[in-house]
Amino acid sequence: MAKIVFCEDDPMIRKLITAAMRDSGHDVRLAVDGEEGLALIRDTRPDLVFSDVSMPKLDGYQLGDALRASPDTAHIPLVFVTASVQRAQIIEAERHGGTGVLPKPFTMAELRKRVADLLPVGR
Amino acid sequence: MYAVAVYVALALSGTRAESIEILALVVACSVAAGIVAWRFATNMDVALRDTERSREELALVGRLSAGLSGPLSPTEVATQFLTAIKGLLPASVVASLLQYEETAESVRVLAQLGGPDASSAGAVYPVGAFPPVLRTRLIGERRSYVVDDAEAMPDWSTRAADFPVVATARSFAMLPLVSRSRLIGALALSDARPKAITRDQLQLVALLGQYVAGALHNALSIAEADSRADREAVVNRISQRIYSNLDPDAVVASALEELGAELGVSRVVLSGAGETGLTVLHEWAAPGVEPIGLGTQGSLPLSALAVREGRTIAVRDARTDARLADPTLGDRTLIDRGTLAAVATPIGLGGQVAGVLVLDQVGETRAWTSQEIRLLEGVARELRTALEAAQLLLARQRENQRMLALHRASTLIAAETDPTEVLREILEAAGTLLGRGSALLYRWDEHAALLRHAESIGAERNAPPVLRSGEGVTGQAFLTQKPVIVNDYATWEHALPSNRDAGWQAALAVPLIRAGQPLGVLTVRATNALARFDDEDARLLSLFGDQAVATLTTAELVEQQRRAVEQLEKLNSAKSNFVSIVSHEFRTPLTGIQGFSELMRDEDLSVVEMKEYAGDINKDAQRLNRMITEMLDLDRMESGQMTLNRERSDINAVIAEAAERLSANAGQHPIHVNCDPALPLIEMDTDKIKQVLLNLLSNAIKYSPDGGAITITTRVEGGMVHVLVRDLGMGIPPDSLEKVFERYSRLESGATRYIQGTGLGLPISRQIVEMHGGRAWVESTLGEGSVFQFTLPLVAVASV
Repeated sequence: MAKIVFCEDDPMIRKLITAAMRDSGHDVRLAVDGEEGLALIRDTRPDLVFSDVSMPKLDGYQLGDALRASPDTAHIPLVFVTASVQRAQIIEAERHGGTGVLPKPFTMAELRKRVADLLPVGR
Repeated sequence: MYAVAVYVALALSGTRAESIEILALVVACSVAAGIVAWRFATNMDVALRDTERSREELALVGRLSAGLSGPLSPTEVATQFLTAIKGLLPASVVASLLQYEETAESVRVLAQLGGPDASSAGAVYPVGAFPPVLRTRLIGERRSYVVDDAEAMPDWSTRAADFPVVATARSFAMLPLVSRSRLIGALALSDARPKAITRDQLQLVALLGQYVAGALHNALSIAEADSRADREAVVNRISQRIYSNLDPDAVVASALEELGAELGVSRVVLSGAGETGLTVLHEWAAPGVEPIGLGTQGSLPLSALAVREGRTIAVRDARTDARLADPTLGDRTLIDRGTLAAVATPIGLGGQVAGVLVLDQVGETRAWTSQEIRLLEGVARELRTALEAAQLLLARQRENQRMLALHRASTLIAAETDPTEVLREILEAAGTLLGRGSALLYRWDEHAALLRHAESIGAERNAPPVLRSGEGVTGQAFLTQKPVIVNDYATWEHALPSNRDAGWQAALAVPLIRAGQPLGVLTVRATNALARFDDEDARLLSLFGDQAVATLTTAELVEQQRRAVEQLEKLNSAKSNFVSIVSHEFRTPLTGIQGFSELMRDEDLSVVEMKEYAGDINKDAQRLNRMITEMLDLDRMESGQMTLNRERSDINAVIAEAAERLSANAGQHPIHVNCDPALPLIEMDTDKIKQVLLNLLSNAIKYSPDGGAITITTRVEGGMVHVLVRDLGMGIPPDSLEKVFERYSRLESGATRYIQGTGLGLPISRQIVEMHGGRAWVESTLGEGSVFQFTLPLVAVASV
């Protein structure tokens, strides 16, 4: 069972993720903004992080910078979940430590595939 | 004695003198000496009592006429004559033959016999040196003057001091020599002894004198013709120099130099006559001589005298010349400048004295010869013609320059895109042609009712920044809306003291008018004392003014267009931003709709779960719908397509309803309602005002991420209901207080881009309030919170 952290300020999307991941067998934790997300990640050392980009207090890019800046969290795969998936945003995501981008709206299958792809084999 | 008087009277009377003169001519040109002698003897038989003596005298006349028959110079004629009469007079008598020079008002000693100093031949004496009585008798009346014993006459030697031959004599006689009505000269006889010359001797000499006058006249005429030829050669040379040059300054400069060098004078000065008197316009000074100085005014006494008299005035010795003592001629005497001798001739132009040409001799007196004077007059005439021609040429050149400058200005207007640059070029052209390199442009500030300094070139850096209408020449041109010409700036009633101090002498200003509307004033000035602006200048400056107006108009149009393009670009980029962000915002509710419906389709769900997900889908769909509605609402409001459904409502009740609706999910944001219970009902569209309140409240919540109380207050103030929504959130920077009410503005701000919504809440709220006749704005302190507020009129205002 892998630990996965989702940072998302929209309550409806948080609820959707919870529902979609309920039967995945992973330990899914939710944060409502970047600040809460960073604390949660440092606390739980998850295997994978999904983060919205536009969030209060600490946005997704700032969160990515913070994760990459610390040796304890630098290795954790980070997927940005965003509605803006133009070339400029993808480059920007990579610049801030993004392992990949999951565009909104996403299907449950896309979400699960991304989880499966990025979790270490055997976990 | 009686006989002598009778003779002299006869000799000097017209008919007698003429007959003798005709006789003299005949003698001078022929060999009929005998006939002359005979006639002479016949006429004078009363005087010639002694046969022996008459024979001697006849022989003398014969010798004289023979001696004078060849072509002789005046000096040779004089010498011949004196030699001939010497035998008739006592050996101690000094005889001088004087030539009278009318132009120079002087006498020249042609020849002299006897006396201690025989070298005075060639000397020139001013007529002023003669004792007054002699001057009157000889020159005024052309009669003889005889003194038997000068000692009997009071202060004779003092009065004749300047004329040595006269001053030292006790016996003295001066006999006029007249030929063809012209006073040719005089024969002066003097002796240190009293009564040394008898009447008989005088009589005979006078007779011979009349005879020689004709010969002398002819000789002088030939000499004059020669000298005129010489003079004309000089004048021709000078005039050739004059006409070889088209620049009037160079014309005058070369003429003055040529004249100065030819005559060996110290200075040659050309003064111009203007309204303020004479001013030195051009000057040539010999090496080592201090010039008077260009622009010198009012201290040119001799020039002033020449203007007053309207003729050439020659001064041999300025120290003693009584004419220069007149204090009205000027405050500086010639001597102050070291000038001892001078001659001035007026230059006429168009029937008026235009100037004076003066020769100065510094450090020494000088007896000006008539030849020199005529040369000066000749050059003055040439100069006048040349100046006339040069003035015409200059006017032509100026006209060409004006056309070129105007053409250049219009080309610039067409080619140059920077209006400031074009304006400067126009000022440059106007300043160069009219203002001696200086020009000013003032623009009318309608709001402040002042003329504001817009642009200037040249020395006008300290131009006043603002002028009132009527102030100075610029203000006067604005006030009258007509060109204003001021040629006496120093004494002009509206003159600005600062400009007067800056040396303004003349000024010209034209109003700038566009389609009947006053735009400003274009002004040029001159600091040169002789500068004058005329109607022609005003017309030219007006043309430049038109160019300036055209430039200003173009500049304004270009600026308008630039702003319009800028606005369009801004709007365009905002719109494309909007599309991109709105589609981004749409994707959030779409994610919910898509995700929950996918779960419902693919998962095995309980009925309860199914219902819950369907409710979530419904909420997200509503959210999406709300966003679309807001966008359309704003569009309709902005295009005036939305109308208000006014009804009498209690705004306090609407506030309470909105607060209650948001309190449910306000969480850490307690909402306090602090309303004035005495508010009257007002006419409003209740739904729209509720929308405003919901917008403001949800904004207050969204922008207070750390929580904090939200307070709504109402009160009546100045006929308006005043509603305030206070939060303790992040606040708004001062430069964004207006921006937050602009459409899509939120979308441009990085700091708040995480906040959800269409970014249209505030623009919509302001639109609604303004449609009610109220006003919406925000006050804020960064980091401490914001107070959004709006007003609604108590009395309904027609929907705008």
